[in-house]
Amino acid sequence: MQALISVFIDDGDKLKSINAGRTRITFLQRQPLYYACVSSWGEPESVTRSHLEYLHLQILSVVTSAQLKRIFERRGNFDLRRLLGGADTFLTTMLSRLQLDLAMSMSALRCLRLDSGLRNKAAQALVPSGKVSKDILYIILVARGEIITLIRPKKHSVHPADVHILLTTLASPSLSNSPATAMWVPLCLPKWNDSRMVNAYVVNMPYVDDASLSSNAEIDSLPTPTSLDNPDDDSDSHTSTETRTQRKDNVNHNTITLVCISGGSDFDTVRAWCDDAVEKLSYLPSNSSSSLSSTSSTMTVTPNTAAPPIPRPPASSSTLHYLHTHLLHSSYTVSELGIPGLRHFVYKARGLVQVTFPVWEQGQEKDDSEAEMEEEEGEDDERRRIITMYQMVHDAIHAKGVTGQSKEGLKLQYLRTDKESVLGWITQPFELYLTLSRFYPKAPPLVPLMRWRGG
Amino acid sequence: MAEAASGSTDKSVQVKLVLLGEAAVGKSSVVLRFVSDEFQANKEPTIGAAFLTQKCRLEDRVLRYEIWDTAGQERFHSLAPMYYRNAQAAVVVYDITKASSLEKAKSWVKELQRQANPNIVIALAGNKLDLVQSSSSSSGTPLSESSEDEADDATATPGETPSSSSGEPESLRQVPREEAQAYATEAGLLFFETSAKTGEGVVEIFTEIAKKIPIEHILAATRGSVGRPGAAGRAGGAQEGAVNLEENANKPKDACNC
Repeated sequence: MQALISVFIDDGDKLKSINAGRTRITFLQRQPLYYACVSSWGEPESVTRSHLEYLHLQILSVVTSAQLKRIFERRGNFDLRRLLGGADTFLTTMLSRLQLDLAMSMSALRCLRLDSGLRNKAAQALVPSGKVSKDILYIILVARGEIITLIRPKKHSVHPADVHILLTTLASPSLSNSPATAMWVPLCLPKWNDSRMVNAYVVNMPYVDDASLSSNAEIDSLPTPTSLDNPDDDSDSHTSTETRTQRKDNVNHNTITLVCISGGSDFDTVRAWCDDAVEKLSYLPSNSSSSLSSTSSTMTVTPNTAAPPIPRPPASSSTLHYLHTHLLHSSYTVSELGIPGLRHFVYKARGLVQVTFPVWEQGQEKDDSEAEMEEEEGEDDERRRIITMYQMVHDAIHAKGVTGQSKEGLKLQYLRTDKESVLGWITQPFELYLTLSRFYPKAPPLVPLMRWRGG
Repeated sequence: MAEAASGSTDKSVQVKLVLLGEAAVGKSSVVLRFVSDEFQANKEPTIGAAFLTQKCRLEDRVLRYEIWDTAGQERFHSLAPMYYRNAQAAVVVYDITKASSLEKAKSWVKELQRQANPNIVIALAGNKLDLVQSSSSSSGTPLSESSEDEADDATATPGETPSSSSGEPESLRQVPREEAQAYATEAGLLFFETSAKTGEGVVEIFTEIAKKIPIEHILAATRGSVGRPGAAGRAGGAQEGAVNLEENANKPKDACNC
């Protein structure tokens, strides 16, 4: 590979890709590293390139670019794996996210669909104050890889790629399977500063229902925990293992994670602040129900993801408990919208760099022949095929005018295959991508969808 | 929730403990055994450091261990002082099937003795004891246990174990018990051989540390919130993840109630 790339460098050129039938080999050079990808999915080259770029950023999150430069200046044949010890889990997690994560394809963030009043309430509990605030860079509340809220200094935006680096790190088994109550993870957010490490203090807050929450708190304050002189030891240990396995089943799905990114290394201060914040979130206010009742139609944080009314937990619940309860209802299917012919869609609010899309469904609203046809291919194949089509359309409507005469490029593209058709539409405020049944007449159901997302 | 209880109302004595040692020796597995009495094969490497807590009862006192389980990779080495700076105890772990890991452990001990709190109680733990035992106490054969930690750790890959390993399991051992014991005695450390997989020796580390910790000293330092023995055993058993000594039937009788 080195030789191949050098041949072109010698000519003052850059090797970008090699096409071999359906397979394309794409190269990305980020000195001192080379990246290559072999793919036969048929996705646009720009997409592969952005995947490799993400991979590079993920590596930079472990080894800063300054470190990289220094090492390879000293020793050209350095084996990078020595510095990436323990980090392969980040790279594999990144690879699997890149292939199927629509938020990354659209270079945007996916926000959890949530009642905006609740979102604001959670955010308020997390705004840093006092002397710790100058040390804290970002505070992010995440569940299932979707953002609940993100707090940042005024006049300082967060690059979506940095958030994806962070989400990937959180999703990697090293962190997501950890039994720890908290973790202190040094990492570099390359788009913020690619030569500086920051520290992420990560607190996992698994779902605990109110009853066990209060009883546990009671036990915790007892001076004597379990001991030999407790005659019921056997049965007790049994119950505790049971709750533990239960918790594990739900851990990835219902855990809310608080991440606090700080520039300084004084973790005692950050930890104390985070403990306070968690306490605020878990605090049981006496009149909590009033503040949350009438807000579902105002949309300030994520305009497109207001949640439908859902069964409310008992009035005396903490913000954290509300969040956990909402989590169970936050995803939606395309059939809930009741738009005939629409099989899937992605909506991106460009100003906010946020996307929303329904969960992938099996056997949704298909005609018999369609269903038959798709029995042959797996669910993953279908998803992969549609994602690739989204990427093609995305690439087309974002392409800069090749000859330079029009900077605008395409506004609307419609791709039709024998399996489905995909439409992409870009405007100033939003981008919209639709997957339609192949039997659906040409005019796409834009109107009802726009009405849904508006109301 | 455990966090929420750490306030001033808590009458237990807080002991900060740090785990150090080379990558893939089983630090996190030892902690997981102590905190949840569980074992996970193929555990992923720790990144940075993970914080866990567990209570331990010693005679009439309750100790609350605040454990920082650190990552063993070299790139995290520079962060270690942050965790051992205020620690009252340290467990330095090595892998008895990998001689080089004891050397790394020795250098950690040296660093601790030079730079950590002068009263720090240090325990040396040789982990993966199950790999060198015949199947009498553990459930599986040594061969199936070989990938206790990361696969990239060459010492414990199945390929190195001849398929007829049942005959000579002791051959995997690279650090003789006597050698490590002698070093520990000389350096003034507590010493244990442990298996996070079977649980052997794990609770004992924390029990013995608890005995050796100058509790009065800690109490004085945290301006005397003296731990008073409450109604013993009152509903305490439901405390999630608390160590239940009944499960370690083969434990010596004189160990503390942990």
